[in-house]
Amino acid sequence: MIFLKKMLSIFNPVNYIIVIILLSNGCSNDLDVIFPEWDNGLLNSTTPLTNEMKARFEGIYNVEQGSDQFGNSVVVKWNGDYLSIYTGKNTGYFLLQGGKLDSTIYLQGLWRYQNNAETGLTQFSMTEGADYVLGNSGDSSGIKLKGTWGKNQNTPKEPVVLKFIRPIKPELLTNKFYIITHHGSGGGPEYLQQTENTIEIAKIIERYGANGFETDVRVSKDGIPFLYHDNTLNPRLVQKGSLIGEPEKYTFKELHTFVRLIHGEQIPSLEAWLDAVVTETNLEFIYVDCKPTAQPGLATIAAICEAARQKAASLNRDIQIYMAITTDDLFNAFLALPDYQNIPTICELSPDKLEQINSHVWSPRFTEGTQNSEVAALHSEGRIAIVWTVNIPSLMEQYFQDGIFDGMLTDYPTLLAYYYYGQ
Amino acid sequence: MIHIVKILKLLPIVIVCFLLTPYTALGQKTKTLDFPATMSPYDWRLSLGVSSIAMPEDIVLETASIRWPLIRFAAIMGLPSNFILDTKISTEIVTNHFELGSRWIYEFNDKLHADAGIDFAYFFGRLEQFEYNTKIHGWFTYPSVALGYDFGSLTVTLRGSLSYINSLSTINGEVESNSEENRFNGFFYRVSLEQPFYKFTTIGLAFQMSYLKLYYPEWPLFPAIDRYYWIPELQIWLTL
Amino acid sequence: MECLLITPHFLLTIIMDNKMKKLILFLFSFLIIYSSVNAQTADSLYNLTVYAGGGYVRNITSFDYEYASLNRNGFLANLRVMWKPDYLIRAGFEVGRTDVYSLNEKDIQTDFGTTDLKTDVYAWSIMAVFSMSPFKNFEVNLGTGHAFTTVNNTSFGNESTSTDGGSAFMISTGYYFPVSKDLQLGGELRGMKIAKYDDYLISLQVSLAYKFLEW
Repeated sequence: MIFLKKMLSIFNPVNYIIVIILLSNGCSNDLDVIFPEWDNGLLNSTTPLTNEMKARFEGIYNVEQGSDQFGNSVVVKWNGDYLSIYTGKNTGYFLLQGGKLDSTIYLQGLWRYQNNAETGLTQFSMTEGADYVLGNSGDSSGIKLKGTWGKNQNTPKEPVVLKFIRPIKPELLTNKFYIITHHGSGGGPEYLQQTENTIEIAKIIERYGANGFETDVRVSKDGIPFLYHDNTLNPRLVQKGSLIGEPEKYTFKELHTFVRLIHGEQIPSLEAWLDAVVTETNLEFIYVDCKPTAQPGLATIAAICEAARQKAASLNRDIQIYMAITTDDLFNAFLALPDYQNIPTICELSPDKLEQINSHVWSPRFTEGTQNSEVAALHSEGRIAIVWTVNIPSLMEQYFQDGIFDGMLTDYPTLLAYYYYGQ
Repeated sequence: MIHIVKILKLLPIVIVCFLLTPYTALGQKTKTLDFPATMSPYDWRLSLGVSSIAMPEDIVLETASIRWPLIRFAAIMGLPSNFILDTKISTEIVTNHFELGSRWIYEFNDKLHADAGIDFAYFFGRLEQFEYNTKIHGWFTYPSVALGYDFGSLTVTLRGSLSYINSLSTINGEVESNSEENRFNGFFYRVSLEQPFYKFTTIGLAFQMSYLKLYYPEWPLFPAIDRYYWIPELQIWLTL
Repeated sequence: MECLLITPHFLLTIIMDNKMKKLILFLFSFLIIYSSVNAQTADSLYNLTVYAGGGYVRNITSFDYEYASLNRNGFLANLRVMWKPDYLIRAGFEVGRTDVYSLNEKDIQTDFGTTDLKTDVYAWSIMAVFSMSPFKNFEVNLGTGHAFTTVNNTSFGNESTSTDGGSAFMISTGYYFPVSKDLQLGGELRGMKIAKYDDYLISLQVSLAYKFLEW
């Protein structure tokens, strides 16, 4: 009987430990991220829109239905063949493709919150205002996008209606304001299908509102600049089975051959990456962030950037490519380069040091505030200022209201695009 | 949530463990901090401890590390009518968290006890190293309930708490931004063991699992756009 | 562009994912489900005991891709000192070295020509260990601390070595039988997670435990 009592007793401390550990067994921070896709072939029946048509329906829209999900207003903007709708709520966005069929415009794609796994299919059609967009008659005031959205791969059924309010202010489209993605922001909380600092993500990042790209450069043991952010080849960025340890200990051949990034890509060289950016994207601003270990390769990095600029010029590409001097050691090493004053650079250090190396761009950290007096002084000298890394929504808004920066580095280009184009 | 489904699937194993594990009582009473035990009015105890926190990879990235543990100083004092006043100061230099609250103890019998209480906390952080210029301050509320069993010289306590952010203000340079007030921040549960250690001291060992949007010791790391994270933590303390 | 890590990592994420880890957890749970809580009947109130152990270790991590020559087997050794009061929880610290994995692949065809690939990974760890003895001669240990992982690699004629630190977590069960008044011989079944490169190891070792101080 005593033994039975003991057997049936729940009062044993070891049990509590087992319970808690087992309870905690279900705890994972991994999000089950899916990427829903349409398979009904509707868009195959449509005719692509011309650039003029696309420009006609870019603008600021009120959310007449669906505001709980997508906020009260959105920014609608084309990026090549993709229509991006930036919602500003939960860093949400739509990514759509579309075309016309008869006198109706059809759009299909997905919506997503950038910071978690919530996503789903969505579709829109435009009949009201389509005549104006297609260049036939009328004006923009009647444009309405009526659609539905759903969760995950399910057929969308919840209504969403966007009504055109006004176009994006022309000066916002022509001014050089740089929405710079922080190394592509493909990993971490952003959950895109491409790894950060790759050619693959550079090719698609404009759909997410970016017109600039900040990339992290290191130098391999045999002196080849390559793109990689972290100090080691670790599970955050590389697949298990790849080389591990400090990337600078390996030659580029080893890195390119024996490392697979988390989405399967290979580590690119800076040269190959810049070539792809110049020839296969419309990115306008490249921020080559030299990691401290890149010091021995500064001359090589400068030469590669210059070669890319020359290629861009030959192709009439409007693109600024700068190497960023981020630490005092890099600064001192940069001073030793011949003709350093004529190498286009970004200086993350003080304005005095910026003057010393004749940088065109000053890039202070966001924690220092708007620094309007310093930025105004730079503007008077024909220089610009890019602040990093701005991820807080209220800070983005405030910097637009109170600051005079020429660009911002962010992990959330869709959100920054919402605040910028929505002004 | 997915983890609830997983927990339910493991429930049969839990029940088997409970049914098959025998128990034998231990000896003397333990001077505890976390265990829901009544105290004589105005009797008090102090404790000093450290915490080790595992942060999720995707917000830690691979960072410049300052490896300071979170240090906790706690004190409890007995009040009339089975109440206890408790206070905690947690610090790791750039982060400071002051907590004050009270709990009411109910003893089912001499071994099985429970408590329910609420704590209010003020927290402030200041990061002015490594080119940061960020300050943060805010108010938190933590309602909690606990169930504990006294095995004699060893006590085991299960505690569950909610976390609410009443207000939070961040100052970056000269730019201040305030987050939404009075929002639910998540919850945490903890199992703690306390036993005599050396002479009159007691050692406490606890495993805590937090499910939070913002965990104050790591405030510089949390991304601006919030989501919930599971954050395990090991706590060790000595009650003096 | 850098964030700040304030506290050391304690990775109980061994319990957070994949089937192998759940299996290990279940096995350990089952090993102790027949336990009872007993005060350790000791001749003295406190003692310090040193454990010296060594044995076989296997890397059970899922690799995204693996070469045919991947060797998951190796050896480990460790030294542990435990403070044992006359109550349930004991505390101490442990230093150890363990093989993690190695590979020796020949004649790999690459875009840059043919090469061999030789990789050897091992780790030194230092951990705080908490222990319970649910019944006589049987121990359950939980350790948390830090591990320094070293990788030696040779490929394309380049030899490289890199050492980096990260969190380590250990859980083990052991059975020790007395050889003499102060000496015990036993074995331990251990699971370990080394967070830096996400490695999960399971090991079986023989240990000697010597009580060198008591009062």
